[in-house]
Amino acid sequence: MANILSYIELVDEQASWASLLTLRQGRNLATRLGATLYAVLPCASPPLYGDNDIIAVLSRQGADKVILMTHAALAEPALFRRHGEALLTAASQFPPALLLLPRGPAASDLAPRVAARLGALFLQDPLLDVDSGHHLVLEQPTHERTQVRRFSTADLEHSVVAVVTPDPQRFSQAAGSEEAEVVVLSPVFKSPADGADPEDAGELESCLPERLILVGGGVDSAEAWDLARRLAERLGAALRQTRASAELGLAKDVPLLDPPCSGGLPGFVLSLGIGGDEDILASLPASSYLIAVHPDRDAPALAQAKLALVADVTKAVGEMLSAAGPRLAPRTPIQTEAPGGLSEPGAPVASVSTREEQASEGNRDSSNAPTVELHVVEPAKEEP
Amino acid sequence: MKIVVLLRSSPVSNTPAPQASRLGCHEAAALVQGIRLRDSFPGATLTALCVGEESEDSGLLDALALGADRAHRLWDPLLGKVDSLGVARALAAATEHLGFDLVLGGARSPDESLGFVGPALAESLSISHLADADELRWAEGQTAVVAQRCAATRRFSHLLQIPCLITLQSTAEAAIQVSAPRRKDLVPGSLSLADVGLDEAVLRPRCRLSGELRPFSAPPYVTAWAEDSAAVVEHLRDLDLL
Repeated sequence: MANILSYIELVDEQASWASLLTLRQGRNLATRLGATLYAVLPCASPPLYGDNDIIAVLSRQGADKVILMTHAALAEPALFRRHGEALLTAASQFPPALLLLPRGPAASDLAPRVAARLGALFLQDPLLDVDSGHHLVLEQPTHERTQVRRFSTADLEHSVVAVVTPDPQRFSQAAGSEEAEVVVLSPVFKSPADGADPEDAGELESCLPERLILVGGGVDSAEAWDLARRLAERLGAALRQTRASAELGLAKDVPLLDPPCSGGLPGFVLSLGIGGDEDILASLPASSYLIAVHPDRDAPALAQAKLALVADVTKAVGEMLSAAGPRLAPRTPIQTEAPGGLSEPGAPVASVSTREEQASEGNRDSSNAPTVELHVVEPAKEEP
Repeated sequence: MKIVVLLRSSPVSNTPAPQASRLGCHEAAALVQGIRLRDSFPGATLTALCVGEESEDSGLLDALALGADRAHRLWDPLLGKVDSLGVARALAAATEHLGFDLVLGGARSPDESLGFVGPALAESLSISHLADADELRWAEGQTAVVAQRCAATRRFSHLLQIPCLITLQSTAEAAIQVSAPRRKDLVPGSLSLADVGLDEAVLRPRCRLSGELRPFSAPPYVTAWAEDSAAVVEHLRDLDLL
């Protein structure tokens, strides 16, 4: 059975939204191809355990198996020399017919070189489909989207590495069960040393957060702003305002949205009260997933959105908060450490206990936790 | 210090005027940053390198006009049939042939726009790389380069020891500087696969991976209309945002 690997990028210790949508796209393809879908999760510290922990989320989004690699060197930012090597470790154990990565800064650095190391066909934002013969069909737009290069796995003998901007409209249903299997691997780092680890140069205000609520001039009361703040907190989204909104002076602490940085993630944007006469929506990355709320059905912003709601903004946001319900409880770490601590690069993989055992040992409430099996796999021998 | 800058020209149909530069915007950024680094390192040289037919000389002429010390175009009809990894391997052979300490390139070429060749070339040369940087400077002692880059919502500085490869994103500054007038006394050199010591047999297996070229038709953009706020919340749940 063919393997499809889907890379999971973490942002603030959570799977990025783009990663989850990419996984969902992988689920769709894996089902149609009869392939096994692996979510590859490299992380610097053990993921958190809880009712809605990352393993459960990845399972629900369709992963048959989760390849978990924990090592301090896998801290952000995700670059080839660490995360790429982790992906290659996973690929050596589970050779992929298709390796998917969500578009973004991480994929820019690590995907091409992973493809080169694998000798794979590399595609950026391809159209992916399955033909009647159960072969993967890939179309790579090129020359400013005037042409496509078409490939079929019926003719290919190589793996495919694809960086995708997933479209949740096309893959709207998460089809996974909650019974994923977790495989723990130790990454093997082989890249040439390139000096010191990256130094965090600080928050980049011009970069777009992955989840954003953007408030326009149509939000014109203190009550509406209060609701918008609460919705942002509930969604885990950053709050920004347009210049038209700032001129109203109702939320002087909320930053203006500057022109986006090209290094920003393609993400989710909820626009509230933006009519479209403000150019700000046009400056969002084309890959952004926009949901717009505005009382005027003819507002240009609604026509740009993937999902549009014609409604009074204050009333709509209040209703959305009520329907969303409260946030889930905080989480605690999943234990994946070997008896002697985390393994060094190239060392045998860590031994682990099941998550159910951990929950029980830690006297945690696991009544709603998914059933997960943990498998330990020895890394492949390094070729001379 | 030998700096090599990888260049690629825009497709002819997108050239707004005969005299305008045909360098891709990211390539222009790499060239401008490369010249700045060259000028701040006594004795350093900068070589522009591209793969392509004679039409690619246009970008090389721009590079020479801007101050590149030399320029070379690598070509063989086989390179028109291989995939991007084949191109990267050929460029790696040419880069080794020319000699290098630092290799710079555009984050994405103006035609294929994959962002693949730079990192793949680094893999072929077994050197470290960083993609999508937007600012470079020499580290103290000039044995390494400090590159800045965005990652999600943060900005990071990276120290890369020489030799290494860095791809760069476009900047407005680069676009302005590349409009320099061309010099007629400088001409690009040409290289063949034999010149760079590359056996065709290495590239031939990649010929089957260039795909079948067809016209592109974009799927129509569709806005879905939510009936009420509850429908939006249901959609947010489906997208795993709640």
